[in-house]
Amino acid sequence: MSDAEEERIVADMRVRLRRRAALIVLTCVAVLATEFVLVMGFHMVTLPVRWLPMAEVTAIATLVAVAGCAATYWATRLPPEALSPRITLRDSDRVQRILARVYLFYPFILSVMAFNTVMIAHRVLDRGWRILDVLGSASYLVNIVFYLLLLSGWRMGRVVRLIYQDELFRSFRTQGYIAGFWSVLVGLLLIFALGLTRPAWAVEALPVLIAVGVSVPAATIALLNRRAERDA
Amino acid sequence: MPDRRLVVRLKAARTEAGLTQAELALKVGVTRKTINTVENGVFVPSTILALGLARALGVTVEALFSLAPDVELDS
Repeated sequence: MSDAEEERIVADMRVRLRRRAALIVLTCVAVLATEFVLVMGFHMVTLPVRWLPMAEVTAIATLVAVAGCAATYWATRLPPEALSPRITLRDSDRVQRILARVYLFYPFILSVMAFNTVMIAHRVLDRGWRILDVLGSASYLVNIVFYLLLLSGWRMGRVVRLIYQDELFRSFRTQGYIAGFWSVLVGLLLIFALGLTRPAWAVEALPVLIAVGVSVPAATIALLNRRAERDA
Repeated sequence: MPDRRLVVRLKAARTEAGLTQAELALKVGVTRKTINTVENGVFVPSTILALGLARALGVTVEALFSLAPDVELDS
């Protein structure tokens, strides 16, 4: 394959990926709008929340999300020649930059989610489980799992794995995991000490520790990647 | 921060071979950033990568990497 041909494939791939990002944002907006319309339609703002309407809202919003993701994949699927190891490595700088940007957002997103989950834990310990508490904590756990998968590259495609398995990026990830291990260990000791005097506070602090355990490796990888780019 | 224990002559060997960082990266199967950080001494490559780089450039590993003269190895 000539250089010009490779340039054309990379340019085409970038256009498709930009389109994909726009469609993902559009899908998110559609899911939020669907939930808003349905919640208002069920008058759930004024009435006590019940499982049936909540299940319907969740199911319909999930359907919208699945339809949006499927349409996005179909409309922006990459041609086979763009998925070759050679093209992936050519585009690796950009992919690693995007990954690092996403990782840098982890602490911000997860701190907001962790704060919400701390409030949920406080309410649950105080008054027992309610529907929104179940959904809130389940949503937090699903997000944590999703962010962990993105961080580890587990079950990613063969081509994406090339980026994750790149020797430099792998060393960044190792350093990130080490930083995460120590931050979680220190956090656990603090929570243990807290639990000796205020057991309820220790339980409420656990979502923060989980967020720290995911955010610290992500932020470390992002900062190391940024430093490597600065040295380039 | 570059590792002062290692002397890296990768950039000179690559330039001599008439390759860009991206071209060498493609030959070895790593990203361009990996090549760049190895050249700057910021990242110390594994033995496998060092051997791969030497093979891609048609030189020995010792021609690319050597220990700094003032490095003392524990006996």
